[in-house]
Amino acid sequence: MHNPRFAFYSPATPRDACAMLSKMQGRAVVVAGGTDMVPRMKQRLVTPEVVVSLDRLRHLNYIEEEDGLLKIGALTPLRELERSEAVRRHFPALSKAARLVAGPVHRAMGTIGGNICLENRCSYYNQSSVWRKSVDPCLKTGGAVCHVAKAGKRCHAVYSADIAPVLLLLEAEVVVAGVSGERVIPLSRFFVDDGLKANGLAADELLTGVRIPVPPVKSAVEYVKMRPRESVDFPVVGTAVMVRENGDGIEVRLAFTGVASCPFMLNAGIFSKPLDRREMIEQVARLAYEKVRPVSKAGGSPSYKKRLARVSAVDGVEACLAVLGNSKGNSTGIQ
Amino acid sequence: MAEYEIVGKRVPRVDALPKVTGEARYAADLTMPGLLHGKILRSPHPHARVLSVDTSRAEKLYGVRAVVTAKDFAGFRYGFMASTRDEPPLAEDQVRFVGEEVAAVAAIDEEIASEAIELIKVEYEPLPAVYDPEEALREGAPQLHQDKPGNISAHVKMNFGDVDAALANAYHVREDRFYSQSVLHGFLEPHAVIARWESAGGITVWASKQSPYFLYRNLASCFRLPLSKVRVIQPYVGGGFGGKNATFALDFCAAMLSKKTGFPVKIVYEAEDILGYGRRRHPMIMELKTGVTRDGLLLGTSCRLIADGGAYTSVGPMTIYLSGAFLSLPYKMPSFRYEAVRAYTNKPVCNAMRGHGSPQIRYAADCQLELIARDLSIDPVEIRRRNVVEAGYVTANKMHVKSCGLKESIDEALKAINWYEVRREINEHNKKSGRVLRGLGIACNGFQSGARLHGHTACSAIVKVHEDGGISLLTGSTDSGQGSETVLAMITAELFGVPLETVEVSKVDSHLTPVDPGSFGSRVTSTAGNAVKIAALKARDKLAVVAAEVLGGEKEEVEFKKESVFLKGRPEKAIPFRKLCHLTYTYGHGQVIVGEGHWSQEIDMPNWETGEGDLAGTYTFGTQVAEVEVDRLTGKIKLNKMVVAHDLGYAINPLACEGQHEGSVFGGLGHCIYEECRVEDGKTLNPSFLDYKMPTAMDMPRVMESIGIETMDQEGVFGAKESAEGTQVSTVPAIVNAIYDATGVMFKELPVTPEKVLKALEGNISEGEG
Repeated sequence: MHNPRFAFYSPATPRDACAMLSKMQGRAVVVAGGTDMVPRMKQRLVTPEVVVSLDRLRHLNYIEEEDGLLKIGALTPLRELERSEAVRRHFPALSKAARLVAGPVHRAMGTIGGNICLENRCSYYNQSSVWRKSVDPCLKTGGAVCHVAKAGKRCHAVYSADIAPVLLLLEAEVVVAGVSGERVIPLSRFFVDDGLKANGLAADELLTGVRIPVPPVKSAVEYVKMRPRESVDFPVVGTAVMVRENGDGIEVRLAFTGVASCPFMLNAGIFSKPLDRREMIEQVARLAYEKVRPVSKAGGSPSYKKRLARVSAVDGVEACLAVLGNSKGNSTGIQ
Repeated sequence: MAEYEIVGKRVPRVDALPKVTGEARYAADLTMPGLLHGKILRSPHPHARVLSVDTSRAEKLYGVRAVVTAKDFAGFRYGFMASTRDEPPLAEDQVRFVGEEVAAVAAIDEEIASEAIELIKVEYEPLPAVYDPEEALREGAPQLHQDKPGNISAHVKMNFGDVDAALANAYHVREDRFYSQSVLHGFLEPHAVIARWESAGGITVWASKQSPYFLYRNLASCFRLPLSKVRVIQPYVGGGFGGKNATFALDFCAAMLSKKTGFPVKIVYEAEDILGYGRRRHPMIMELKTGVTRDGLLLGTSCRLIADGGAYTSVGPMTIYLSGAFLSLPYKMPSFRYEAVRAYTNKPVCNAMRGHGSPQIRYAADCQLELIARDLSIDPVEIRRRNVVEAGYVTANKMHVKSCGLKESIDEALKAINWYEVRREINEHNKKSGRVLRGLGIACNGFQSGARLHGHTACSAIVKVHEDGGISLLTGSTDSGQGSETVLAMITAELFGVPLETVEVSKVDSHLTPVDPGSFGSRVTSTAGNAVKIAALKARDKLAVVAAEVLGGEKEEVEFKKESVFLKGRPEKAIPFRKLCHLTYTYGHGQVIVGEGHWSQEIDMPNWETGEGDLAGTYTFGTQVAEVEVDRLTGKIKLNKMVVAHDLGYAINPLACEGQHEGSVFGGLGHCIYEECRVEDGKTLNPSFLDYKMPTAMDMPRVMESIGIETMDQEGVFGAKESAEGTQVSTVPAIVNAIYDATGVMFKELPVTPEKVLKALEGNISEGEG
């Protein structure tokens, strides 16, 4: 497969990039590492007039600690996120989630910004133009039907990026550049629950950075990825779990990817000390099973994915408890 | 056993360096002056009448040089046998699967060719389609081929011994139904071809084929050319596994487009062309009714099989023939009845794939034997030991077992995995009811060492010794990645007593290399190897005559070792090999040193009607043992260890054999757990290596052991038999039996996905079957 014809624009600043995006009114795409966009172009899912390449924005490749925040440039390759000393020290789960993305070659090229902005995927949509001729157009391609759930009126394409649920739990913010300047928004408000569109970026906006507050309280975060193969695959269910001190209790939060049109967070509650471990696990398991409601059959039936969500949430909690239980000055009441 | 200098050693492959450095050129890498690029238009419908094809707009597009449709091929059909030629190069008035080729374009570049394809207007009238083979065989089902009523593509019946009496008298009879799914060959190099029509009349083609002489014959008949006017030149080939035997639309279209334009035309398939619309392994529904004595001795089996053939016949009749014939190996089966139907369905075409018909039936039969062992409370290893064939055994369908190391392979496999100790460990472990269940499984195989088909079946070789001592080996057999170039070079080097680097193995060029059936049925080492040996000895003889005169002895006394030639027992008075070659060229009137050899299994043709007779000159046998872990909460299976113990006669290159064994573990693991063409309404939903889940290196077992059982076969070159396809025959049942051991559930439908495992573990499984 070859790319469609396009004009190539390589701006020197995010502002220039946004200006071009603004000028093109949706007829341009942004390419960072290209691991998601290039196949989409080859499959003719997008046929942009202009490709805005971020290859000259090297200053957006950084990881630095400042003002209680870990700041990560949008063009930081996933491999560096995976290997960064600072990321591993503060947020080992983020390093792990980055390590579990696709294969080593993708991680060398793919960026944190690109991963967050991953488009929603579907077995009926992420196919070549030749293949798509054998099905009627769907909601994503200008038709009126969703092949995943024909009765419904919404698109069920799935958001699958691995790092998003971890970042959600870490209360990350994203820096968004536009023609008139930058804005910083919580990641939780960045995504939209719509199969057609993974995030709320405007056509002339660019994600330029991620900021993660270094947590003041003792916490543990774990990412559990369920996938058929030990490499390459997108998550069938990707579950991030955070266990942290909250006043007199222990708070548990969950976040999921791969099971809906956007990543989402669940509060499992605050459990008082001394901890009733069994009660906590049961509650987490129940919550994950009830609240994760996949529709897509890719990677397994919805009911199987619900089971995986339950197991992965419990596994994540156990792993977090082990970390907290092993840490020095254990004041969590976790044995 | 004789001591050899090269043969029997772990020798890295002669093609390793060019391949890992990127120097090796594959068909898609080739280019030439005036080259045009072709693209193919495919049907979006699973079943439709083609009312009209309008190519006028495409033809007018700037840069387009020619467009071809079915009309250009004037009704030509191809197929495996005269009676099964049901496939046109491009669809005529009917398309029968999503992706069937309808038209092709040649243009000055790929982009224009793709654009032109979009401009071809095809008017279709959709027809009802059928995707399930059982439904296809029912009355009233949509019909795919007018001249094949009932959607029956092929029908095979066999009946040996008195099965009814055997089942009536059996102490125990079991009936089970198994299903093996649709899986792909998974070669990484796509189909690619350059065809050049020669103005003098003739075609030259560079194509990625594991059996280039099929293409040679198909092009000759399609273009009504004498065979000698078709020149097939073989570049490096990046894997075949049975998927690169046949001729495909791209080959015919490239040749036709070249004929029309007068320029060479190149067509390279995308991964999607292959994974979405290409050939695949036959899915099979297998019903087995098997009777045994109280001691678990097999008495007879009655097997009904339905193969899902897809839209055309391809080599399907042979596939279902082999599934039936190999009911009789590797266990003694005194009687069996077999009835198989290959049904047409509106899906891509099924054909041969590594193990050709055997992995499916062995999965069913070996897993059923496991259930029989449980029913009778016989140890799974013991029931196999009691039933194994041995040398001298003649099967009910008259296949002659000459050499057989099956018993030894069981012993060695058990030893390698420390079976009985691990068995105890696992029993203890599983009693603890932890999250992870462990299991151990065993299965055996029997396979043909070098398929013998009808038609031209001999392998030939020409060995040419240069005057500086260099050696060229010309053979018609293809190294599609299995390592046969290395093995044939080793045989040659050994016989001349020269280092391996001295021997250059040529790739197929049908003008220069001798004709060959192809690289299928595990026949290159076993068949071409013998031809190479004969050719090498003939060439060596010419050198020996001169050496005898120079050294003052008899020709029969001359020995070739370590680049020296001497009379037996007198190595001190030797001529360097290079000097002898030079001498021979200049001796007397001068001569060239060329030897020619051909070889074929000396067996009678089987009776294709009854299924009686040998399919190969000799057979291989083996045992595989798998150790698995199953996560009770996710259903996920991890294959931890796999042992392949194979009676390969003699390992000419143990390193290459090990590679083959690991390849079989990979292929079998994918077939067993990961892979499946997910087809919905005739559309393959996962036509990419992202969505088609071939295992990755990370999914392979931590421990793999490859054991060669050497039985020094009388037929084989240096005693060697195949060690390729046969080793993938028992991979699936070994793993499924291990999962059964771990979970208590026998999975009768492949693939054994984590979801199926979890469902079975959560459910109330009274039968112990899933």
